[in-house]
Amino acid sequence: MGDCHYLYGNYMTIKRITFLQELLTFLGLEGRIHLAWISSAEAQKFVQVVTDFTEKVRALGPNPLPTFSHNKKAALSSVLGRGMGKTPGSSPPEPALQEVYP
Amino acid sequence: MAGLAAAFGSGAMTNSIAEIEDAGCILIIGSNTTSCHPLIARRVLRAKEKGAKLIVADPRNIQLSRFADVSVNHRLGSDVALLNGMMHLILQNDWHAKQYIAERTEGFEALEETLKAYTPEKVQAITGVDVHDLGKITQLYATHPPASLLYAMGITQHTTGVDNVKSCCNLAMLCGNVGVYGGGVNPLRGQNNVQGACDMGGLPNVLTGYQPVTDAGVREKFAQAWGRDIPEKPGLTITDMVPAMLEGKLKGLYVIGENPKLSDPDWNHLNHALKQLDFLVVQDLFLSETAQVADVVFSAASVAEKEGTVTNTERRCMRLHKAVDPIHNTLPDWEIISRLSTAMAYDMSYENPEAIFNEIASLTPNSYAGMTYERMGLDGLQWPCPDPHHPGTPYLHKDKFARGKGRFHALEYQDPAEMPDEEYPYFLTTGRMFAHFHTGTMTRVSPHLDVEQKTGYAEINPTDAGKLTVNEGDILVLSSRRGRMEAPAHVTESVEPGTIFLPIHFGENPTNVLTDAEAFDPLAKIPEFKVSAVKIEKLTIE
Amino acid sequence: MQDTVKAWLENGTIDVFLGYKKVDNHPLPHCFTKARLEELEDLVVSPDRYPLEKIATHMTTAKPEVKIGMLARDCTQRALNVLYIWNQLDPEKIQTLNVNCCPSPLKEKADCSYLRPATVGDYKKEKGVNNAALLEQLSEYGQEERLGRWMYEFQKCIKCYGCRNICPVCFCKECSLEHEDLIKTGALPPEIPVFHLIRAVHMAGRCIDCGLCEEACPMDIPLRLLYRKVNDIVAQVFDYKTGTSASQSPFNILGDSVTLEPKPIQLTGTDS
Repeated sequence: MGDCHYLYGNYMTIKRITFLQELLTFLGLEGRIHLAWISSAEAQKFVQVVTDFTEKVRALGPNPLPTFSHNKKAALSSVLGRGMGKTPGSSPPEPALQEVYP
Repeated sequence: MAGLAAAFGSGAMTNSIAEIEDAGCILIIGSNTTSCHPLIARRVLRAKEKGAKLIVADPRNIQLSRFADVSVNHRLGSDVALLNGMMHLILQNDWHAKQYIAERTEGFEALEETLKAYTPEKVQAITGVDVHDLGKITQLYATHPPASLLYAMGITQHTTGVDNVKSCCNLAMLCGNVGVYGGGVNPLRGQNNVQGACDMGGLPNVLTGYQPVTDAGVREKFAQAWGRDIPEKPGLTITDMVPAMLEGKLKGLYVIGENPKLSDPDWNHLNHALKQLDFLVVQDLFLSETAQVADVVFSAASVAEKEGTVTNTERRCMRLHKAVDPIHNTLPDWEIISRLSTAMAYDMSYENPEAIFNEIASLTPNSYAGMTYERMGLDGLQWPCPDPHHPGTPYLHKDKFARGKGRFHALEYQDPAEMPDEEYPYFLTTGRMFAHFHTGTMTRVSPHLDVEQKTGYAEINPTDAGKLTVNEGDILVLSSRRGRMEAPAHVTESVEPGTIFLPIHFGENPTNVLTDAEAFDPLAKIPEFKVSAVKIEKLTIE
Repeated sequence: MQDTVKAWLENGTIDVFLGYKKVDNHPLPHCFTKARLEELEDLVVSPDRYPLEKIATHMTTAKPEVKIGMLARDCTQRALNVLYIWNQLDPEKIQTLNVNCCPSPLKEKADCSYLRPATVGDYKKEKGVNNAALLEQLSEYGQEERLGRWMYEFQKCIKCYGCRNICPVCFCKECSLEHEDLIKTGALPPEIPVFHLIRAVHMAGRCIDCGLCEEACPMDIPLRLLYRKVNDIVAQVFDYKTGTSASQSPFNILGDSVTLEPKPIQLTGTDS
C-alpha cells in the first residue's frame, strides 16, 4: 500500500472497489468483483490470482442478469419464482386460475 | 372515434387516467404503453402493484408483458377474433352482466348469435393464442371488476379498425364495465391535443364538440356567429385527399403541424400526388420533409411560446402558459390563421386566445359551455362541462350512455387486406419507439433523444435472423408490393418469428414506402399501418 | 419571511430570491426580484419541493456574478454544501432563509410534511422492494432474492431521466447515463442494472438524501433506498457523511491514509 506509481492511486482504488463490492452485494451480485495488488514483476502471482478468481466465478454459475433482458413474462417469473421467500404482511396467494376452457 | 361513437354515443376515452390505478383488471391491447404513453403505464403498474390483474394482448412482446399475469401474442390483425373468443367464453361461463345488458344496452341477441361460432379452437386457429391462455385472460377480465380496457393505434390502424374498436366496446359492455369508476374503454390518444383537435372540429364532418355539419340547426347557429354560410357537405379525409390530388380535383393543400410525407401510407404514391398540386402551404415548427417541398412555409411558434388550451386523452382541457416570446419572427398558429383569413377577405380578429376560447364555449353546448380560463386553473376541466357550475366529468356514461343505450355490434372476423404469401412471406408492422415522436420533426433535433436512436432499424426475431444468417446491425432489404427500403437489423425477441417491426420516425428509412394506401378502414379511413406483407433479404455487397 | 426577503432585495444583499409562489392552489418555484416586490405577498413555504439549489446552479452557470437568496430546508443546506465543494456555487453569493425540514437519518427530528405515509401495494411488497423498507430489512433476503427484487424494480424503468433531472447535485455537463458506449441505447427498459448502478455509483459523495429522485420517479423505483445504501457505504468506507459540511470531500481530494484491506477471495485466500 502507498507503493503506487500514481502516489495515492491505490488508496483511492481500494476504497472505490470496496464501495463497489458493497453496492453489488446489496443488489444481490456478491463475489463477482475482486481487487489484488500485483506488480509488473509478479507474473506468477498474476496467473494465480486470475486462475483463482476465474474458478470462483465459475463456481458462482452463469451471470443471472441476461435472464432479465427479454420482454417476456417468463424472464421475470423464472427468477422471481426461485428463492423467493414469503414476506411478512404479503397477501395470501391467489387461487390458481381454474381451467375455464374444458 | 367512429367505433366508440357508434357503440356509446361519444368518441372519447370513457374514464380518467388516474382511475386506472383503481381498476380490478387492466386489459391492454394494441398499445405499447411504456413507450408511447409512459405516464399512463405508470398508472398501470401502480394498479398492478396494488393487486390489479394485468393482461397484455399484443403481437409483440412489450415492456409491460413482463409484468402481465397473462400475456398473449395474437396474430397481427386478429383482434376481432380474439375479443369474440373472450366473449364466447364469458357467455359460456355465465360471467356476463345480465342486468346491465338488459337495462342499458341493445343489440345483445345478435352478438350472442355471432359469438356462438367463436369457439376457443377456432380462435386459436385464427389468432395463434392457445386455448388455455384464452381461458385465463377471459377469466381474469371477467371476474375482477372494474376492468379497464386500454387500446391505442394497434387497434385502430387496420382495415377493420372500427370493428376492432366496436369489439372492445362489446367486451366492456358485456361485463358491465362502461359507466363505472375504474373501468371503461380507453383509447390512448397519441398527442397532447388530439382530443382537442377533434373537439375543435378538426375533422371533415363536424364542427366543435362533434356537432355534425349535416345538421341544419348546427349550421344555422354557426352561420349566425360567424356571418357566413357553413357548407353542408362533409369535407375530405386525408385518405380521400390523396386520390383527389391525383385526379386533379384538389389543387391546393394547407398542412398545419403534420408531416404527411413520412406519416402517410405508400410513400411513392403520396409523393406523386403532392407533385400534382398547384400550391402547397406548410405551417410547422421545423422544416419537415413535407415543408421542404412546399411552395410557402409559415414558421409557427412552439408550445412554450404561446397561450391557449389543449385537451388531452382524458378529455381534460388545460391551459398553456407562455414561457418565452416567440423566437425568430414566428407566430402562434391562431395568429397565422387569423391573418391569412383576414388577408383573404374574411376579417378574423381576436384580441387573444381567451377570446377564441370564449367563442368556442358559447358554440359548444355540452362539452365546453361551462369552461372559462379562470375556472380551468392549472388542473383544467374534463368535458362534458355544460354549465358554469358543473365540476367536469371524470368518467362518461355513468347512468346512461351518451346515445341512450349502449349498442352491441355483432361482428365477424375479417383478414387484414394483405396477408403473407409465398412471395412476401413476412408480416410487417409499424409503430413508435420510446425516444422519438411520430415523424421525428421535434425529437430528432434533440441531442438527448437523437443519441438514444439515430437511425431506423428493423426488429427481427432471432429464429428468422438465423434462417437468413443475419446478425445485429446487418442491413436488411425489405420489399413489399409498393416499394423497397433498407434498414439495419435489430435482432430481438420483442417480435415473434414471422414478424418484422419498423419504427416510423426515420425519414431516411421511410417505413411508408412499404405500407398500403389502398388498405384503410372504410368508415374511419385510417390506413392499415399495422399489417403489410413483406419479403426480406440480407444486403450483400458484390 | 416576506420582510426579510424584501429587505435583502432592497439593500442589495441578493439580486434574486428563489422561493415558491402559489398559483391556482399549486405552489410553484418562482424567482422573486426587486423589480416586482409586490409578488412577495404570494411567497409561500411549499410542502411540495423543487430543487431550488439546482435552479441556482443553472443561474450561476449563465451569470456567475448573480447573488441568489433561497428558501432552504436541511436538504437544501446539504445540497448547497456539496455544490460548494464541487465549485458549482460560491458560498459568498448564496444567502439562505431557513425553513422547517424533513426527517432523514442525518436529522431525525423534523416537522416537514414530507414523508407522507407512502402506500406500497401488496404485490410490490411480495415481488419488489418496499419503498418504505429500512436497509437492514433488505439484508434479510438472500442474494438471489435480493437481485430478483431489485431487478423487478429496475425493469419498470422508462428512462425518463426524472431522477437525474430533479437531482440537486447532478451537474455534470456530460452525463454517463447518455453515453452510448457505457449504456446500450434504443430500448426500454434501459440496460439494467447498469443504468441504475452507474447513477448509484455517481451518487457516492454527492447524494444528500433529499428523496426528490424517488418522488420524481413515475415508476416508484425505491431510488432513495438505493442511494441511502450508497451513503451508508460511503460513511463506512470513506468515513464521510455527505453534505454535512462544506469542507473538502474524500471524492475530490486524495486520501493520505487508509486502513482497509481488499476483500480476500474466499475460495483460496491467496491474496494479500
